[in-house]
Amino acid sequence: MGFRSVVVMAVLGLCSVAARAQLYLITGSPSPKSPGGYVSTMFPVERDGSVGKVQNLVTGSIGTDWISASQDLRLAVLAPRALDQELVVVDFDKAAVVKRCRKPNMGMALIEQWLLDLPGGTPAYVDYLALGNRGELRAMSLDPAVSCDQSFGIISPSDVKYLVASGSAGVAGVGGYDYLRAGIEKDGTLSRFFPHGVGKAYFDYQVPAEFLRDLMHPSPFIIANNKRVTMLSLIDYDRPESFRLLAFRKSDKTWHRLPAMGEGTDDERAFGEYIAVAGAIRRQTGVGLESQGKSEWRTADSPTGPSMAALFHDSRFIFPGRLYLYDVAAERLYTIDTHQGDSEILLVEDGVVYYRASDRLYSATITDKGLTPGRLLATSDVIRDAHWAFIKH
Amino acid sequence: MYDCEPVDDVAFRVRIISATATTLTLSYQATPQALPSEPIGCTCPGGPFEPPAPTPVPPPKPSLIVTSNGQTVAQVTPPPPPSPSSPVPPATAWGSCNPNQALFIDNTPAMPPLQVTIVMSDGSRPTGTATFSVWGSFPQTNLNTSYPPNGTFLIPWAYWNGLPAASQPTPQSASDTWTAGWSTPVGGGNASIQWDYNGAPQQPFNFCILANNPDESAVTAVLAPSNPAYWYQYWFANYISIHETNQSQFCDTGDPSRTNGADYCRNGGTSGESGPYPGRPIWGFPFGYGAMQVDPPPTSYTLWNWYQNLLDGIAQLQAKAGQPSDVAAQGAQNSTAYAFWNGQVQQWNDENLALQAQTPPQPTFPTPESVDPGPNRANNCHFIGSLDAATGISTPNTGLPYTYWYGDAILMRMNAGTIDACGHNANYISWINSKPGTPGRWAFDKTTTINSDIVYEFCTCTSFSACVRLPKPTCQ
Repeated sequence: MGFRSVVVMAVLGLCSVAARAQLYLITGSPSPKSPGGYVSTMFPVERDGSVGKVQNLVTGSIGTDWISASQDLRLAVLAPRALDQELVVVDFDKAAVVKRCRKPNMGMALIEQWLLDLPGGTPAYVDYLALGNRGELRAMSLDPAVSCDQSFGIISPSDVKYLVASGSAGVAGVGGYDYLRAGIEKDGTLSRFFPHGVGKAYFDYQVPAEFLRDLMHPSPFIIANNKRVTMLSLIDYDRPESFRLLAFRKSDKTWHRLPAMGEGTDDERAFGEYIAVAGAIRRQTGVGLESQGKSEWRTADSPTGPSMAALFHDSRFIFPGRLYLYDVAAERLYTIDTHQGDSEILLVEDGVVYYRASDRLYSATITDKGLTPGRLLATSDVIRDAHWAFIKH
Repeated sequence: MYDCEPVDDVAFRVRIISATATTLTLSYQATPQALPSEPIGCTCPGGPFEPPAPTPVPPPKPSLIVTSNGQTVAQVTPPPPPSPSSPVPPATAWGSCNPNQALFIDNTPAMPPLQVTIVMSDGSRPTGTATFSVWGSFPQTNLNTSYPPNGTFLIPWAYWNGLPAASQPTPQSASDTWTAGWSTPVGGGNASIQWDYNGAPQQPFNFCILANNPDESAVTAVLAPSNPAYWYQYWFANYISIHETNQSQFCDTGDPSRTNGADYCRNGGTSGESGPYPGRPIWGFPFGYGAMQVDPPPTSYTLWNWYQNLLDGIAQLQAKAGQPSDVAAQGAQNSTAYAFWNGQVQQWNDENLALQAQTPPQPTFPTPESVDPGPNRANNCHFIGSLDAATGISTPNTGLPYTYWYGDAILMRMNAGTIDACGHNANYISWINSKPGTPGRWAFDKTTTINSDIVYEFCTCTSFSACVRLPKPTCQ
């Protein structure tokens, strides 16, 4: 019995046999720009629609600076806001924290951070640090078998091409991101320049000229990079309408421009060959409009997450409550209407889409005829702050 | 009434010499003639004489006369004592204390002199020994989840006299005047003289202590940027004191207009009390106290000692500022103003360097001051990014008059509160990194829940009359 069947049957109350697969959610709101932090937790969604035991990953008084989850690496990393707190590694196949290490204080400012899948199958977390005219890339091995004091080391900028990224979590910036701001060479090769004498990284991807021709100053971001897809955004900031999303399909090494969705998008994210985006209307063009679902938003900061009302207020986008899912392999686009601005796709696995709308978790199955109607899996206040999901097999 | 045979037909002035059950002995004096006085006797025919029982004379009672600077101290109604079911008195549990009855901490600040003398009800001299001690409490309480237990923070129901609670007062001669030895730092509120007389506990003498403000110039002198030298970076500390309290630690007794700007002094504000309260520490509900509105106060002395309040205010600024050279150093990356600011400059500069390295070089992002939306600008506060191109690091020393780095603006607002009018928790200025489809930008968040632009308001406060008070903010 495949997992999809198990879930569907469980929801319908037809499954009486304990299945091994278990859906988990991770909550959190990285707040690198905020004076306050928010708790991060992990919990299972039980087959009866209830929420299982909630496990604290990072306490609210500290909060997180950055969270990333990789389905390829089967892990999530939560970086705390405080250097005297531990970075947390969650193993999806154990649904447990398998490593905690404190990052050494290098006395430099944190510029960006990413996940890498270094040669030899070594997953790593990397900080790009800089101060004045100094800079360095410091990696931490995520292998639980490696002790903390042996886990940190400086890496070469060329190692950054092993980037593993999923994109943006949540909407309006609530879940943070793990994408990489890139550069582009004359021949279309993606790169990343690190000042302060660190050097330059070159990626093994070359953007065809046809996607660049009209861009005087292309600003690329590698939004996601997994075993099946590399997702890239391109824009010339002088012409906001020049924004485009490209997908590099690794199975046949072809580039594809994502189809027009009839409206703007934001908060792009990839799950294998699926690219999830949220419909988003720039405020300038959406004067008088408002993000949908206001009555359900949290209106004040709480220990578990920020005021969504404040985030939507400050956002440069209006969120109409539409989610898009693009299948890069099949070149097919699906739409989910949640009528709730605070909604997002959390996971796509084995042909099932898991998505959240406010405090409700749904699933929908991808079929030849499109997505099945969303099925309510669970409702709980803790789901409101869930921006990552995984299945323990 | 007793009848005696008359001795002569004259008037007598009679004095009883003695009386027994059967005999009354009198002396007499005839008037107007002077006759020799001699005892006479008579027998009472009505039976044995029953003299009245003698009235017992009560022992003299001790009581206290309490004086301060030669003036008698009035006794006031005490507050309800704490009890096991209510160990923390409500915020309104003051005794009946008004400035006309109270003693005052002077503006040194020093505790008022206090002399205590025992007087006996019969005017006799006290004998034996007595002990004295003074206990005090201040009943305001606040909730602060960082303080156990149960989130209750007591400000403070604590003893502030010089005697440790467990010690026994030293017996002294009961006829000697006792002078309260304020060996402790300054404290005010409800006060009570606990005493005993020859080992017998007596009714406490309850009074209250309020405080007088220092002169504004004294506050300015303490908060001067050059005093001591390492305070230079808190050039705005005096502005904060002027803005928050008109450089006042207490609701002013002599000139109420000095502190009428404080809601608490005027009418209790949102404290749950109902003013006016001359002589009490200015309370900015829920946690701010005194001239610097120290929030939360580390000790009760922050409430009653204006000098200590200024030091605590500076210490609080220091804690929130961190060191100017901090970058993601000790502790939380973003918990201190200067570390946060330095990190923002690094991120902004890094993006610009990467843009310049492109072929062809791309336009760079502007300096923060060039995109500061204002609209309020104070003549004596200009904020800039202050990036030293040679070092690639922002510096607090801009070299320009009245010009400071944004690290100070972040600190000033952090000291007032970082929740904005829309409920968003953010610093005064942040570099918002570029994201797919959206270029990086400097973001400003100047409002607090109650101020439209608190940094600007602070900056205008070169004097209280110069302070600008903007309309309260709305979420826009």
